[in-house]
Amino acid sequence: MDTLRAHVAAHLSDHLAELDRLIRQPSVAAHGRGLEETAHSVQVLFDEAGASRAEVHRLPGAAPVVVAEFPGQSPRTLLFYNHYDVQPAEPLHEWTVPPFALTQRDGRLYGRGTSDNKGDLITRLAALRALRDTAGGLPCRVLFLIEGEEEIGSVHFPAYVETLADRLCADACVWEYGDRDLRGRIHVIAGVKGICYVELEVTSTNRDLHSMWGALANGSGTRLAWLLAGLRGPDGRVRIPGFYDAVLPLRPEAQVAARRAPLDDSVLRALAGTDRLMDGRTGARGIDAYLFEPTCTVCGVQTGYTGEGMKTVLPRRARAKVDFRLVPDQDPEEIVRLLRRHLDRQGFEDCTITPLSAERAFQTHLSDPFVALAVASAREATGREVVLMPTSAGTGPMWALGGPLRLPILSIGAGYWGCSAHAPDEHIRTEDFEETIVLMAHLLQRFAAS
Amino acid sequence: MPTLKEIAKTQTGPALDLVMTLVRQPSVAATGEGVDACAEVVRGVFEQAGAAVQVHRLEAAAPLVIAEFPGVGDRTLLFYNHYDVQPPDPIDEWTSPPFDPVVRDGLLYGRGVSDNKGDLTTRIAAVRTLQALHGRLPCRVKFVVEGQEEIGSVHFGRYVERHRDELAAQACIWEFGQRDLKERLVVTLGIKGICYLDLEIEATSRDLHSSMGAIVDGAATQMAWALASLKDPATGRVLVEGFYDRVRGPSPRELDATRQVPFDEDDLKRHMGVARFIGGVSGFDAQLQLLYQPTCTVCGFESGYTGPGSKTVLPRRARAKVDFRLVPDQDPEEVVALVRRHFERQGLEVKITLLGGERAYRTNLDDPFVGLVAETARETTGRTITVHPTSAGTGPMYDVGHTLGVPIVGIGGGYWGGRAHAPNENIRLADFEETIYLMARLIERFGEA
Repeated sequence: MDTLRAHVAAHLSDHLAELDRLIRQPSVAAHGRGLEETAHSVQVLFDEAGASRAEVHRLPGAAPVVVAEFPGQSPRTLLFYNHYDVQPAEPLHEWTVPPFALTQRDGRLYGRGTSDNKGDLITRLAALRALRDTAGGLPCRVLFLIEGEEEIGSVHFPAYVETLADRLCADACVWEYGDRDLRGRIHVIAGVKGICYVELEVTSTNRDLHSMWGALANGSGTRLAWLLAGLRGPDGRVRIPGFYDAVLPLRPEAQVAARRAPLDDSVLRALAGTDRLMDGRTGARGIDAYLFEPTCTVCGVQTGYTGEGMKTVLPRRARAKVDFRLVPDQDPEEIVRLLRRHLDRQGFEDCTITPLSAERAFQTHLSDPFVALAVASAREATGREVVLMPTSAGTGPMWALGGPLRLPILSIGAGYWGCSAHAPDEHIRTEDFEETIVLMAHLLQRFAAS
Repeated sequence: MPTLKEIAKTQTGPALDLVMTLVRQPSVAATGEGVDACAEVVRGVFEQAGAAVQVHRLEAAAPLVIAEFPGVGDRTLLFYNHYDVQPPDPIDEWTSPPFDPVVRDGLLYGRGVSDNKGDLTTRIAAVRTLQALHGRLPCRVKFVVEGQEEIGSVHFGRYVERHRDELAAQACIWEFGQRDLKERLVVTLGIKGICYLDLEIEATSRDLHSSMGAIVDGAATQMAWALASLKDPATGRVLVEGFYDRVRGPSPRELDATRQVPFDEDDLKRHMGVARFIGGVSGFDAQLQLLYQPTCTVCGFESGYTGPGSKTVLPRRARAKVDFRLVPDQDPEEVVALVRRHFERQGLEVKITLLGGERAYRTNLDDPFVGLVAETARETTGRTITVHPTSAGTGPMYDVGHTLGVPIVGIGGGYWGGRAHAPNENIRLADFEETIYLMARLIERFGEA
């Protein structure tokens, strides 16, 4: 491993140059911006790294995916999943560096996508280069599946997986990202939550009215507030009837793993950036909620006049974006149906619901041998304490891959607790980037031998 | 010798030029755009008409224009108007540019034509009409024209206090008046108050990934709770404790007058685009709710990501604007304190800024000035006149009525489709002409009285 480490250290600037190339390609899935170009750049990176096959695949109306194959010495195959798209950079004025360039400052790598998820993609590619240069080739066969719509809910990813299923045959999968917590422990994540993200629009009058008419008509601003307040109470429970019906009982092994996880109130508060956690969601209850319970979050609201000063208007229209995080076996389409029925019963028949993303939750069985192998690899390569998280609180299209292909999937990567994913000044730490390259190379070696 | 009506008609063309000049000068009180410049335009207009003009400036306030035209006799009539306008947003819903007035099919379009530059113009045109006919005015005529009406006349009370001697009068004509859906002319004797708040919640130290929504509420959700808690969806009743304590209901005399006020419920619902009124009220009950009940309206609410597509963010901040319309004797400052306590009791940390506060006011129905205005309006327009003890709208009537001790009547050039505060604000040129004559005759009769 020392040879590996030395090689990675010696070539770090090359890897950072590759990362810079990717960060400079804005690829905001929400705006459909730069996706073709970035997919092409990723294909070129694979070709340069010596892939036996690197292809861009396209489905109508979808951002392209990139599939790459690297032959190896053992017949075993490991599949890496990543995405080349990023979140919008807004609010731009809160960035202290340009979002779409790699900035190195104080041992950190800044830029939109450094943490989520271009940095991880580059660490994996770099691991392949290191193995090839130091061991004369790859110990096992390696596949990459890189999509471009992860940040908008991987809309076409299931269709891509179906189309490409033959080429994606593998024994296990390493998922897009990973985390180091406040105490420097590295996290191996065995599942994700699902999502149902909807846009709601309320129309209450046939035009904007003078607000004196508020004596007789409720405008859209007021009605939207009622609507949103009716979705979830301060106790955190979602108030849509039937919302919890499909939720599976928690597996004991998952809860045991959650209890071992170094999560406590102080960790949750640090993650949250506030001391004010939701009512009752502290201690074990808070951890269970964080990992195993579905959510309802208002991500955006716009109605009426929000400029400077006063405008006395009864707004005609109001819009909101609402994000439900789901757990096994909730079905996003069913959630939309339940929401529709709930809104109709509450007097919001006029409210339109536009589903913007839908994914199911997924959890790898913790008894799968790949779990122990990955945990041991991470410990050996980094010297860090390893935390096995039964699931992330976040979302990704794990189900779309793990469901049809019946793969164990684990997520390990280069992130850390303070990386501001989805927010201004997104970054990773340079030392984590370097460490993760070594980790991925080591994981491939152990995987090949297993 | 030409009649007053004929002279008034000849004044319509120049008056149209004048209102277009005023509209071309944006004067958005909410942003401050063009407010100072517009005050100067107004000064010039009065000076040209032969008035003695003073432009006053209190610190941090929009300028106040006071104009005085000398007249025969001791009596003084005061006109209250404002030269500021609402923001033109949403601009893309205007058919023609808001600050580039145009006449189409007998309508004049532009921001401020209805509220309130058109009315200011008809009154100046009325003065010019009388000057043209008699060479002098039958009474002294004063104008007080402010620049912050649309943001709650924040400094107007202090201006009136300070200049009460210059503003002394026996009666006041308020800024506006409407022709209703049945073309009756509305005369208004009172007004609601307002308490307009800016609310801000900062829930976390930064925007978070929305997966944290399992344990953190987030600013947008908290603001939704805060706003939803203000009003009962079923009844529309404001749920802030103590909010109704000072509410003074209509007097028997006001109730009687209100019964005479036509209320075209179906037309109104069609105009607003609603199937039912708040609480399911109908008929006279709806009318009482509109005129004598305070309100609570969310005028704006913004948080998080509102662009195209999805962004999975738990927003750190949320802002909202809330408008309470008040009735006598509610006090806006007290409402702020009650709302603050209301949020505190729910454990919601909300930063509250009072952007505009005014008290409600109602002129005594029995004042002889009320009869004089109603009779003059009937005589000059041939319309059915309806006397409204109060409007559902707001203005700083309390500042004038209470401080100067004068009866106040609102009458003017508007109509039911004027789209005040909304895109495609407009007035009808026929109403414009009619109102110039009405105002000229009113000054004449007031001088004779």
